[in-house]
Amino acid sequence: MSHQKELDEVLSLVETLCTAEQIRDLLRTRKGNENIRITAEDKDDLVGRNLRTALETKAIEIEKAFDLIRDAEENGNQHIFYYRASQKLADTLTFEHVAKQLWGASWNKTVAEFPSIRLKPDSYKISDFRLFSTRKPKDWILKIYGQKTIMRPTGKTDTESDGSVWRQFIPENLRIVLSARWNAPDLLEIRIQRSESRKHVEEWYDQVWSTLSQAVTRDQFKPWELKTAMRNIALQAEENAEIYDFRDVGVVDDINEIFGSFQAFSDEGNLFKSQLTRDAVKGFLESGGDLNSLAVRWFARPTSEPQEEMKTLLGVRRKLHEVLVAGHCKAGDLDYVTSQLRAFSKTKS
Amino acid sequence: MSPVSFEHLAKQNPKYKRAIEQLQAWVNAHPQDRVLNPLKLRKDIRNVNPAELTMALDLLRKAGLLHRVYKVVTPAGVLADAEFDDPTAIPDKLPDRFEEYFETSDADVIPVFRRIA
Repeated sequence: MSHQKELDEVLSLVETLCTAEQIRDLLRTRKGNENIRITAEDKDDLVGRNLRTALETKAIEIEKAFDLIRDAEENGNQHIFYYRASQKLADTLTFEHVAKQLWGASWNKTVAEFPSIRLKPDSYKISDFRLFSTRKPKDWILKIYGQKTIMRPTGKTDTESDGSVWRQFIPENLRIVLSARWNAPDLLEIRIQRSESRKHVEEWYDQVWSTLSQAVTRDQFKPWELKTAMRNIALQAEENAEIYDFRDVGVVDDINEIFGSFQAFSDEGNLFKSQLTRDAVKGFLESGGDLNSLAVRWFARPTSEPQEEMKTLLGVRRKLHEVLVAGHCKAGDLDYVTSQLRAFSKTKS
Repeated sequence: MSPVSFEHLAKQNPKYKRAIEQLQAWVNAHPQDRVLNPLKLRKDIRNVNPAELTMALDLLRKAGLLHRVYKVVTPAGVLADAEFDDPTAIPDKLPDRFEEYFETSDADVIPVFRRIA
């Protein structure tokens, strides 16, 4: 990172995406160094003066700032579409193999240039490709940045004398972060940032597959549907009361094409506090019904993951392989949820 | 979570002592509930006049024990996840519990209290 402009962009991203506490935590890792200052009047100073000085003087390596950005933008506040690979396909999906398919023989040179933080106006580009975690050496992540100019309604209107109405829209630059994460041994996660527009979510989802197409295609995978996991999570809730609870379920009788839902009034509610609801959901499942949606809250644990409470919606718009992760979270916490889904997919109630 | 005590506030405000004590009992009986909905409290605490309950909630807010926030009711009649310090900051669209976005212009907005202590 030698260019001033790029450093400016890194700092701008850190300021937008990270909390002041996260930035202070990073600075504290080198407390005692003469170029490290932790206290600041406000976040502007914390980033513009303290972190800038630390990075310019190399008291903190730029890679640490990238890690901060990665943590903030790659995990959570997103839709995750799960796909399962056959054993044969999974064996081929190594970091090197995928890199070679995407960039050819000189992939090493391209990958060494990552991460790239610049956006391409009204377009998409691969911004990062790296091994995901030291704990799981076969896992990798490919990240895509996009930028799109959208017209946002301001809510202002103007009515003319003939009754016609003008609505004001202003252009806004939307920053898009998409990724494909290989979660060994057999899962591919397509991660799409949350949006109020389903059209955007689907367009971005197609974009990830399009970017991956030199290496893998969608029809090589099977959607990993969470039908069994949802059923087991619901039916085993009482014995796992220390691990999770849930407040909303979508129920479905596929044969008769009947859909319904139970929702606790409070956003912090727990459906199984009600004996009546518990009996109804269990009875429905035991009589052959299924769930097509389940809002699960995974409790934080003091000594292991998840470090913070996680809110997830399993099954979105009747897509059983789609999960919504409501807020930003740590990479390990999100992996914890996927591990739980794997476990609940295997067990039988 | 350790039990909450509003005892000091109850002593300072003898007129609302009973309401404050009932709120303390409710909070201690619902340690997982970080949000207090006045409508639910009125149903659960029937032996206190609603006006006194409202005043007691306001005293807790002024004492810094509660923070007033605004929640939007979804078309299904439950509370959406998002909460706002200022009702004018509510966006035009919000997701319901199943990630279906709805127009907020026709939705009910209710004030609730988030626990700080």
